[in-house]
Amino acid sequence: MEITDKDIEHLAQLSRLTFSESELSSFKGQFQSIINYVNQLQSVDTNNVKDFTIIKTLDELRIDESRESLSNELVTMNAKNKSKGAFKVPTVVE
Amino acid sequence: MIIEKSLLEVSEILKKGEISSKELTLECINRAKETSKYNALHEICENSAIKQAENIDKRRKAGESLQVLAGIPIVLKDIISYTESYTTCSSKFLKDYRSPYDATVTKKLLENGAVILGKANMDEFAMGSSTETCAFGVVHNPRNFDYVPGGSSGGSATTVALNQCFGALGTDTGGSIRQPSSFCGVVGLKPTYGTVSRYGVIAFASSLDQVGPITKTVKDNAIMLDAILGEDKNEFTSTSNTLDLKNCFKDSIKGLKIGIAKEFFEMGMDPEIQKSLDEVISFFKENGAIIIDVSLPNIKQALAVYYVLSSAECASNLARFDGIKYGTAPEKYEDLIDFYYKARTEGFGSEVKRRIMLGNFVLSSGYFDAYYNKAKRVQNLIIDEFNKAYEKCDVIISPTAPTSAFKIGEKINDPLQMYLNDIYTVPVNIARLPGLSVPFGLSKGMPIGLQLIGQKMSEGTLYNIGDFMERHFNKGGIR
Repeated sequence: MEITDKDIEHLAQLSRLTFSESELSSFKGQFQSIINYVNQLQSVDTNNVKDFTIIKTLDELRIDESRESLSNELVTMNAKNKSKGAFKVPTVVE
Repeated sequence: MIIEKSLLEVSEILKKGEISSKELTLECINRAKETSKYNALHEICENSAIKQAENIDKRRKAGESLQVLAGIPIVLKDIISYTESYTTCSSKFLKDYRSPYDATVTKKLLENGAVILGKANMDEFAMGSSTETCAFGVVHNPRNFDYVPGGSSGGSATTVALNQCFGALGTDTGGSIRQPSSFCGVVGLKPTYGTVSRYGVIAFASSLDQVGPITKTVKDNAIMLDAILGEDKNEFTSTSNTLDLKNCFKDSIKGLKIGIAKEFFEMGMDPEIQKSLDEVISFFKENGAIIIDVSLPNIKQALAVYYVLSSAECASNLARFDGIKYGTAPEKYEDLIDFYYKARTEGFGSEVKRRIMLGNFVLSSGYFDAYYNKAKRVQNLIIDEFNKAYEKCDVIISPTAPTSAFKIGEKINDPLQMYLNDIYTVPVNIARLPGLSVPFGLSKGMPIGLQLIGQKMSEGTLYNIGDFMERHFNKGGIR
């Protein structure tokens, strides 16, 4: 399949990333060659194969009790914007 | 020189009291500063390391019987959380990030008395095979400054090879411990998935990531693995199976069945590596091992499977990097969505962006079944093929990488060529098996590693073969 500018723009939006014009053009070529390589998977017959899933069964659930956790100060120590022990974000709802 | 000793040797020297841990730590700090131009370390934790060393010296003086690792300087890849340092993942996004807690592996090393010397540079978020995507400059190969050390744990392999420390931890998602170990002439192990806790290790592709040691010798590697392994209630994928390494070194490989998969030879191997491989096969035969042909027909699909699955998981794991709770935050923005765009666009480097985009592509509606589900099914085929092969043999061997180290800048603009470096290592992650890289020769004057691939939880067997090779096989000038 051919990757179009529109595909890249859509993926950039899903990824919450912006690219300059020059980045976009070199990126498109690289992306196309990776997709072409990955397409070799389509030639493998997997009709009778199940998906590989990791399911770890829990013999017993842990007791639902409160445990010691990180302090508010530690949890928020890396935030650039904070207020009264909370993370501060731009207004979402007016 | 003391810094050239192995971890095991230096542990004996400390025990005898010929040197204190503080003196040893200062030697390592000096060495790290003298050789800083290689850029192996992002940070030296000088104050905390000296404090840890003094504490061990005090305990030793008081007559306490201490662990093998006690008082020995060790380096952590900068993806592993440690409260005494930054944890940057070699990304601009996390350049100021300090973890509020220690990773389980960090805790375990400290409980074993290790001195945490510093943090090693890496490919950004462990995405790369050359440590050229590190946001804080490229790391140079310890044997030739113009060459890459491999990646993504390039700083960890380099710091060990330069004798800045006696062992380092790396992480391996598709070869990131084994390939740099091969390029730098050191020993690296990717343990069986689930053996070592990933708690506090920043996630790249959670179903493939595993922490493991990089060391000067095979025995040193076993000492470090023994210290960090074990079930962790904080980590859902850690296994309760225990790995016993106590009697794994037998100094004999008699009767061991060593498998050779013809498909590995069809992948384009450097002629000098092929020659070393023939030599090591003869060596195994002369010493009583039995060479067995096995077949892994879908192994050539492993790299494509890897790029689909690892990118999908990367896109999911890195979605949480929004600049709100930690990391780069833009000064100016229009609204919350714009804030995310700016934080991520400024914070991530181009390889990380490429993988996030690829991941979102294979997960997006219309492509999910053709790529992600297809890759999961082919993963199952590959696992079955390994299981069948292990009905006939104990281990499978291959080179760790198709070539020795390449020049800085040679492959950075061609991602696919870069990815092809991992062609021998990714199948091991896909099948969740252990893989050990042991130096076994030179190609174009640079080190190459032999990869020993074992069944799940067979690290002891891999260590035994690796140690036997290290003692008795002529490796062409490698330590």
